[in-house]
Amino acid sequence: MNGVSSISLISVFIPYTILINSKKAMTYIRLIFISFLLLQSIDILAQSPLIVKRSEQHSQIEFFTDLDAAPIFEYGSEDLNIFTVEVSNAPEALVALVEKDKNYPYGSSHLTVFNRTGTILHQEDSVLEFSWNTVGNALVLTKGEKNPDGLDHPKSWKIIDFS
Amino acid sequence: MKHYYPFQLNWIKNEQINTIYFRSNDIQTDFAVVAYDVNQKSFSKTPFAANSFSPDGKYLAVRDYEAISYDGCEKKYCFKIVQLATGKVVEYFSNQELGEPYGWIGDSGHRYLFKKNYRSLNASEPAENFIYDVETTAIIDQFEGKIINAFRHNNVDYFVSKEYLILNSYEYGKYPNGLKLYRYEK
Repeated sequence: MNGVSSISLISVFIPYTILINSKKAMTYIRLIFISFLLLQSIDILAQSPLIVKRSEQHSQIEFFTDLDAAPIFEYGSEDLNIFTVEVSNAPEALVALVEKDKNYPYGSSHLTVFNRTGTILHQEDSVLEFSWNTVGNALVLTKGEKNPDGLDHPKSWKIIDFS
Repeated sequence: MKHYYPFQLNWIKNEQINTIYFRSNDIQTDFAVVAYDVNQKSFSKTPFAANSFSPDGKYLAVRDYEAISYDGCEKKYCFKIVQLATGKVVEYFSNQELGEPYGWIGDSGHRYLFKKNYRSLNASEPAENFIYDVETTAIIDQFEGKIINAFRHNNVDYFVSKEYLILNSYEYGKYPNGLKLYRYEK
């Protein structure tokens, strides 16, 4: 009985001692733990819907993954005139945001595409219209040129693939 | 798209098709919707004046002003959903009992959203929402409350990916207000 107890004590004590005394082992354990937490948070971000809130003045947007939670990202400035926002159907929920010139609201626009952490993926000027594909990983846009009638007309188009 | 001036872009991509539908004011297209096959890089003129395809491109929702004729409808108001493979009308909605046709619910299969009274200023008439399922040709869900996905609420706008709906769940006269997030699975 005493022999069995001492063996089990040793089998637990020796690796424990090695772990505690070894700085490398402790570092590895910490790294594994942090990686686990990071993977979990990335997984939660990828699965949850992305909610984008535009301010009353249309000058700022905030990204949320939960209606009751704090925003995960904010973008905007006093001068900005955010005309429209489209969240794509992709699992990573890309966001296309169109800004218009306050002094020329009927003209073409500036388009910015974000990922869900707020990183800018693409920017495009002179955009008239755009559409995400139903998968949500690419968009098609039309670009305009000013006509003699003073209005911007579609003159070219472009596909931008984010896959 | 050299000689087209596209507008109303609508890009349908799935395992079967990868097509950008658009309208064009080019006289050759007769204002019909044009299809651009992204894989084949080719254009074709469709026989439709409407551009509200289901997310998988199998059905087309046609509003009264987009209909070429009112065939099959007794009244002028004639919203219909057409199966593209057969050309058959799945259902006519010849009255406004379900309110106004709003649009396909994202990646939810073949479900179409109707909204009623959402513009009403009369507090005794709460906004109603109906979810119509094309496969079963039945209303599969009905709920009160103002859908605020991409609509103004408390002076701010909310946007969410298309398979989700944000619903302002308050009933008129009852507080506190609450925002709810709905997801429609396939």
